[in-house]
Amino acid sequence: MFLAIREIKKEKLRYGLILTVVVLISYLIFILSALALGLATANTAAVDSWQSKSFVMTKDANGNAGQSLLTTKQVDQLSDDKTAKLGITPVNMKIGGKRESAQFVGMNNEEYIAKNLQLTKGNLPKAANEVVLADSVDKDIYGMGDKISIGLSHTKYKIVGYAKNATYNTAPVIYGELAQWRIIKGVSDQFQGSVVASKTSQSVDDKALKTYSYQAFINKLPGYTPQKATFGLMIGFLIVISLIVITIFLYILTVQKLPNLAVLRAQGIPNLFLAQNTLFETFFIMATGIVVGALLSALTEFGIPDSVPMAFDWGLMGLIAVGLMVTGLLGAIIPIRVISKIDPVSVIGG
Amino acid sequence: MREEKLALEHVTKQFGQKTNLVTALEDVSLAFKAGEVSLIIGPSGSGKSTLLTILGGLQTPTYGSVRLNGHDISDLSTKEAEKRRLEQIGFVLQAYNLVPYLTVADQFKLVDQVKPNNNLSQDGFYKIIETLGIQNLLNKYPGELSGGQQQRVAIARAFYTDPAIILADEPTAALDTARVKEVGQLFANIAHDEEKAVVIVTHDDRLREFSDNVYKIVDGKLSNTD
Ligand SMILES: Nc1ncnc2c1ncn2[C@@H]1O[C@H](COP(=O)(O)OP(=O)(O)O)[C@@H](O)[C@H]1O
Ligand SMILES: [Mg+2]
Repeated sequence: MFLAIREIKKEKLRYGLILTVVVLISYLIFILSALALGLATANTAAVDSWQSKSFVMTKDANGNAGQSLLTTKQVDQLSDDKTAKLGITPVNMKIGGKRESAQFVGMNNEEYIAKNLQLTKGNLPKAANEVVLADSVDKDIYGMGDKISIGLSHTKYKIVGYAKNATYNTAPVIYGELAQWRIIKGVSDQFQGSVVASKTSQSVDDKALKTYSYQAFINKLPGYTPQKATFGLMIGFLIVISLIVITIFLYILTVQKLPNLAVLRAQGIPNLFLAQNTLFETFFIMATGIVVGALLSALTEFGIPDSVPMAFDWGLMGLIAVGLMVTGLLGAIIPIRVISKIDPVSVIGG
Repeated sequence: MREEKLALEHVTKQFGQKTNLVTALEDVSLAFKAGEVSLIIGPSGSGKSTLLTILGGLQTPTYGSVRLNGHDISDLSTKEAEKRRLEQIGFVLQAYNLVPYLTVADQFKLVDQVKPNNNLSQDGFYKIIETLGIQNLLNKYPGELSGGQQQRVAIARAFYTDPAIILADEPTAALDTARVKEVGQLFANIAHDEEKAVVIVTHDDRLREFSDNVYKIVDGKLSNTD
């Protein structure tokens, strides 16, 4: 510690630069993880709010609810008092000259998903031409009582409320009556919905149907799994890069100080003392870098527009911080080995 | 008779092999006693630094042995050798003696960090830095000092642990004659008043008058000039 503090104080530029690099890397990692989490949340928020354990849809839909069409017979077979029927389909919603992608989710007001829905304003749709919109929509455009067109339906739907956590596959959800799903999607009346959700696990005998657990359902959301993998890879790479950067930096610094370190060793300054010092130096750089990076992330959280899906989970960030710290300390291993292998004579002789 | 602190017994040191073989020291036997300044004078490349590092236990002889306080130190562990250097030997080396990012005062505090006890008393410390004329340099960094000032700080640093043995490699290389006399006197006083064994290797004849023994070394071979 003695040496590290004084060295950092004396060599401000040098340490300032490496600190800047660590700050930027940790900031980038924090922001990326917030973006990843934000996107994940935008994908799954609505599904999470349904509080369901399993979902049944047609096998051909391959887990994509928007592609699933359940017949009346199938729906009737699956339904009991623990299930809720959903009609999910990607749509365009139009108001004035504006169009926006959305997900229509038709539901039955008597079933648990509708009952559990948390509204921030208004009430559940009571008539065929009433809908509840995601709370995240721009209320200047989609005002209470405004009328919107949805998908292939000719009906003008009136906005009667807004629902919390209502994004599905990153698009805002429009909740309406189940019967409207068929009309909006433009399919014949032999179909009753796309998914039967349940609070418990479901088993099906029908070979044309398949059950998905909550997690499997989420993973099958279009783009969700690749997105998660991409972010994971980026964060992983950044952590590896930070390991390499800190190793190179400490290595160069150590090699540069080699003659002095050799003399210190000749004078009998213990190896352990010098190693601890390098370790402390690394700890200091990483800790400061991570804290500043976290502060910048916190500032970003306030400054970021709502349209960017970002979610800061401080527990997750803490975990990442620990990961970065461990990485940094690993980076000190090579320099510490270099120090322990110094042969004082090589510097002193001659 | 004075007590023997450090001795070389038929020490030969060779580097390289076969056609590249360099014999830096050849059959050197020497004894250094407490209370005496011993000067080993020789031209560049004669083996002085090699001799000093073997005396300090930084490298081992190819043949022969080194005795410290009457004990053979050939097979000490690294840790023991480290401890012995820290506690018993004060090194003044040719270069890089000072840590560049520590002020002069901190060079000594660094020693306190690893060896908190039995270092010079406050009074002893001030006496030495005044004799060396570095008392006003305590807040400066080595980079702000002249070569001669750095060398004097290095000497004070070697004395700071109050070692029984002082090994100095060209300690007066960067000093003018007036300073050489002061530094020479300081080495002599330390040896005589505090019963230290002082070994100086150098090509600087100006130190002769402060020495109790003078040896000549040429091409790794020794000859007592007295
Ligand atoms: N590690 C080494 N490897 C090979 N040769 C060395 C090594 N150390 C010293 N020598 C050689 O030993 C001889 C004596 O060197 P040195 O003790 O440094 O002399 P001095 O200090 O008197 O100038 C020189 O010829 C030098 O090249
Ligand atoms: Mg030399």
